[in-house]
Amino acid sequence: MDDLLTVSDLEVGFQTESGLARVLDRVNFHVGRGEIVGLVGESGCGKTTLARAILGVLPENSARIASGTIDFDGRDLLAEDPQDLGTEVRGRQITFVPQDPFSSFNPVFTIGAQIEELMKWKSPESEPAAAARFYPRARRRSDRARVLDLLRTVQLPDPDGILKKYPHEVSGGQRQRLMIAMALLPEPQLIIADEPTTALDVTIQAQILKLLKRLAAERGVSVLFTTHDLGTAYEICDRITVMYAGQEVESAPSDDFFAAPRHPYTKRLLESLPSREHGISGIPGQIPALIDPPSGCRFHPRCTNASARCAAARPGVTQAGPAHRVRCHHPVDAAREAVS
Amino acid sequence: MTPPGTDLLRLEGLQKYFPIRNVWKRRIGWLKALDDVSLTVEKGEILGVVGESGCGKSTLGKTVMGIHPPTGGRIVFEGNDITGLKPHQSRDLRRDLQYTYQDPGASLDPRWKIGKSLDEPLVIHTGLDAAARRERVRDILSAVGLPESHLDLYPHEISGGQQRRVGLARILTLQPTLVVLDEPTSGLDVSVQATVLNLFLDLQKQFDLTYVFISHDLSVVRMICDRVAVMYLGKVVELGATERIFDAPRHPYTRSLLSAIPQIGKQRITESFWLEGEPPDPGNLPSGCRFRTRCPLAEAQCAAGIPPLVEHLPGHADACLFSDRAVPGG
Repeated sequence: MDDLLTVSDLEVGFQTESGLARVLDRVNFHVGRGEIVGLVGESGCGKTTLARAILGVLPENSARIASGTIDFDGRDLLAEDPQDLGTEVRGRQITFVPQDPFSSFNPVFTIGAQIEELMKWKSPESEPAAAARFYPRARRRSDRARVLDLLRTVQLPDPDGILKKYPHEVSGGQRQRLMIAMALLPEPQLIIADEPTTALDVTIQAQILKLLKRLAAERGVSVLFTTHDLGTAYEICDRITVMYAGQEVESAPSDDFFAAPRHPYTKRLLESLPSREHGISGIPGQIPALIDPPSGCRFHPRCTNASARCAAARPGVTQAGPAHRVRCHHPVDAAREAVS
Repeated sequence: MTPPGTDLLRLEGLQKYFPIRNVWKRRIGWLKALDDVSLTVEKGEILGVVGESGCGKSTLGKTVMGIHPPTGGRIVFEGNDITGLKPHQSRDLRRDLQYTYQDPGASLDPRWKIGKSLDEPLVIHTGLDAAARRERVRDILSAVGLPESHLDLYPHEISGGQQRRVGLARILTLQPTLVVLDEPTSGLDVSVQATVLNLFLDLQKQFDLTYVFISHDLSVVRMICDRVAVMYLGKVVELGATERIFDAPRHPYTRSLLSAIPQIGKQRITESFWLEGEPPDPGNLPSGCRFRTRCPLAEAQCAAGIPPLVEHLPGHADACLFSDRAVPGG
């Protein structure tokens, strides 16, 4: 058992005015220790919901977890007392890098004050159980040294000066560096990065990806990296899982994934990236409404390989290679495609 | 004055400065969003304008449209100088020049049905009666691939890709010659983006359009543009045919921008990317070349004067003194 995180048969729905939206449909997913896993899919495919379910921050009054387990380092995140998880796991063992660094800081406090608040509660030195009403001076001093050290590691110029600034005074790239620093400060085992570079320019994105990849490797942290951009997933992920409309459809090591995709959806998704070979081609049809999703494999109404079986039952897992799993009744055969 | 050839739009030394004010509203400097931009758009071509956020590409589009009055320079459209004309004077000219906003959802009135939004430009710009307008709207709607039943829907009831189509239909009802597309594919999923791009190309053929395609997505620009202008902090730093720019970029900024795009199957940028730092504060620019603070080729000369945009190769201009040199590590 060397997987850090295992999600099995997770089914999550949201209660809406027009009925229950079945956003995750029996999702199986795992993250190994020290592994960077990409969770790729188009908008509305449930990748953010999965990330939130792992963090335990689904909206309480509308989310319904129908079945499934989330096992993190031997603890069942769905069964245990949320209070304990809040102090021991969330923000300490599992941290989060948000998509939008602009709205993740409080604009009326300095960055230094906000990082200090984080360290008061979540510093690796603090006692998890003790109420952190007091912040001992000795620990405050060592935490501050730790913060400055990490700000230097994420290549922020003048760490002392930055702590005195307000969030609007630093650029978007610097804010995202701060977010990564804050995610690393509690020395977590897993970082959930929810589209961390979508809001950034390409040159800044390249710098941030480089940084995240280096730090994850240096510190042996696992990263769950959600993105809609296959290019960024190619850059940093060791393994990639693709989701479509709340179902995971394919999971493979990065090289295998791009060289020989087996699921028709993955293949079409890769082809719809603008490129010389494929020109501009999309996927006809639309993402299904999750209130009333198609039965069986949810991709079957748009799939060219679909048969009656696809509508009847959701395909099981087929092993398409070492660590390459695909859930399709009619997987694309890379070798046969090449011949025809 | 009227130039020969087929220039549809010509910008001559266009400038747009925004004042920077302190808390007492006193002007303490200028933000040079566009500084001495000269370029031409030929009839029937797609000109890409690329750059990172804050480089002035949207300001360029909006200044051409007259949404921002230019600080200096001239905008010549179809041989007529439209710089600084009052709205009523230029209305007839501007009918041929249209603009699509970045976020079509926000540019449609949430309380109007799609049909009414499509009807409005015709009411303003043409004297057609209601029946003729309805006819025109229907034609355009089918051209952009939307069913007629969508006329009775509200903007929130349709998807992002469909909202783009409505935004496009709305300007096509006026039969423009030049369309400025501001980030037309941002926020769309790749599979939807492809269909929207194909729509742009189809409509261009069908209606004989010329596009100015403003985007930060270089892989899209590469696919659909004929020529590309690369902007950095209010200046055009490189201008040329798409193929030339993508295959053999000359300005160090363009080279860094291209090397930052993740390419599946190629070397990973996390191993090869060399550009450090972030763009300087646009309100407090370095002297001379604006890229010199991050540029690996920079020398003392670069600080002395702003390098002009020169055609070092035929049809391929760049604004760098040392663009013949190789970038170390690049």
